[in-house]
Amino acid sequence: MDPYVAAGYGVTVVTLGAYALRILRRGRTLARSAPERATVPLAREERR
Amino acid sequence: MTTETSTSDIAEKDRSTGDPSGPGPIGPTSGGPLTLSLGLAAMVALGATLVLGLTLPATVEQGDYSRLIAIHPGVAWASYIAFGMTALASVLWLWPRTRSGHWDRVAGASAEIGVVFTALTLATGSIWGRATWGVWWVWDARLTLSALMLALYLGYLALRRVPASPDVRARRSAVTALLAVTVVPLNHFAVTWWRTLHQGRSMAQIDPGNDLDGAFIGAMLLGLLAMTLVYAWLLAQRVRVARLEDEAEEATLAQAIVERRREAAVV
Amino acid sequence: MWRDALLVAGKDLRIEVRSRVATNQVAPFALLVLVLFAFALDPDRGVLTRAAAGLFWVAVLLSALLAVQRAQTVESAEGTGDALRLSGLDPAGIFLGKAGAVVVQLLALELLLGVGVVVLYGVDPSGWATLAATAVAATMGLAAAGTLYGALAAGSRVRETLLPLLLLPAVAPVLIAATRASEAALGTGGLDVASGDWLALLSVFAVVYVAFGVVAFGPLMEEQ
Repeated sequence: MDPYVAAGYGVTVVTLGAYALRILRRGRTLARSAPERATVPLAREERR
Repeated sequence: MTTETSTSDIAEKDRSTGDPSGPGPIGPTSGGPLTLSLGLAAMVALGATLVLGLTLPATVEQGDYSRLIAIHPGVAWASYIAFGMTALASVLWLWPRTRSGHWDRVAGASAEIGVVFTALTLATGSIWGRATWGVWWVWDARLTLSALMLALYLGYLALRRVPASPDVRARRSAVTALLAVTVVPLNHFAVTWWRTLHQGRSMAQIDPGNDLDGAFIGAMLLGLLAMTLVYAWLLAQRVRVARLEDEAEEATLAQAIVERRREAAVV
Repeated sequence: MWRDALLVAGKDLRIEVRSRVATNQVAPFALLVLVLFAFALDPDRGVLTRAAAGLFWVAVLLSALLAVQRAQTVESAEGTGDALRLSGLDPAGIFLGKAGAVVVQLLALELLLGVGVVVLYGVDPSGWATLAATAVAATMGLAAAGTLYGALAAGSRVRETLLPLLLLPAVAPVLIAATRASEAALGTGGLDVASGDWLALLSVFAVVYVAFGVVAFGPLMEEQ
């Protein structure tokens, strides 16, 4: 395959893929920590 | 016990200042069935574009390079949609009846995706230019306009990162987005006249897109569709992340306030 | 609105006259830029003369950045911005006044730079009417855009770096149009360039930005 064509397709797929992965990973991290944040202070209050 | 009620008060207040139009609680997976099917459709369309694009026949004028037509117009198109969406969401935020944090997040998310697509437009356009014209960059009107748009919206994103209260930041960003979208047509005229009047000979005459037949138009249209779907899916995901970020920020703030109050109670 | 604009413009210009920052720092900087271009390009082979129009407008653009930043700095010190907000002046008037003061300063600077270009780059000045019209239209657009973006970037800690990033791509049409119109007037443009179209573009740019500022400056001022 022609190197320029490969580069054009490659840069598009890699960039979009990397960006999508970054968003998904960030979303997963945030979603996982969100419930903790909401419950932790309340739980502490009850213990006191 | 008094601290307990104040905690829920704060939580209640934050909820009310937050986004009224957003959907209910967000699960750990990435969005609802609509987003999921959108993502699948985007994957299928993108895969089909790659297959169709790479199997396009070589043309006499361009050889293999014309296969880039399946992606370059698509990413350029998606960048325009993204910046259009930013402008629309900014108007919806500025309009008092539709004002909500949701539109501010949509505007910011769409601009970020638009910047990614604009960078891709420049990259693929540059690669195509190197293949056809032998140089990485020509002062083609459309490429120059894309470069200016990239700078404009990088500025917009930089302004969004300046710390301020949510309302202030949203207003500032909305005005900047509208300014940017006003500048784009002015830039378009300036750059187009510059490259056509001044040079006397437009790049359009040796435009790679002139020798199209059915298969190429088909591949280009499929590319447009695929990139539109990819954009829509990215937007849904990015807006969701933005919402989670805002909620996390609010929660941290509420927790800090609770802790300060507890300190005060101990003293 | 117009009386408020005159008040604010008078205030800003008086500050500039008394502090002498414009005359002692911005003007020498602009002339220095002209000298730097001569270092960077070959002065012997007529490159400077042919590129004079473009170099002139780049020098104006860089100085405009300084002038706009200066206009914002004046308001950020010791609560003067709050005083201006509480003064009850029409925000549209404040915008027009601040932009007007920048226009006056930039026009004076362009006169100085024009003399500099004639002397240093050996440009033969001709087409005065076109040059003057270009300068006025371009400067109004520059000042209006600069004042707006200056207000948007004001108050942030990164404003020195944020303002150029916001302003320069937005005023790219001004640089292109003003350069071509000046080249047409000076006859250095080579091919037959119609200066009328470029002047029209400059005017549209100025009108759009002035209108935008008149509408948007109020909400932007309230926020901070």
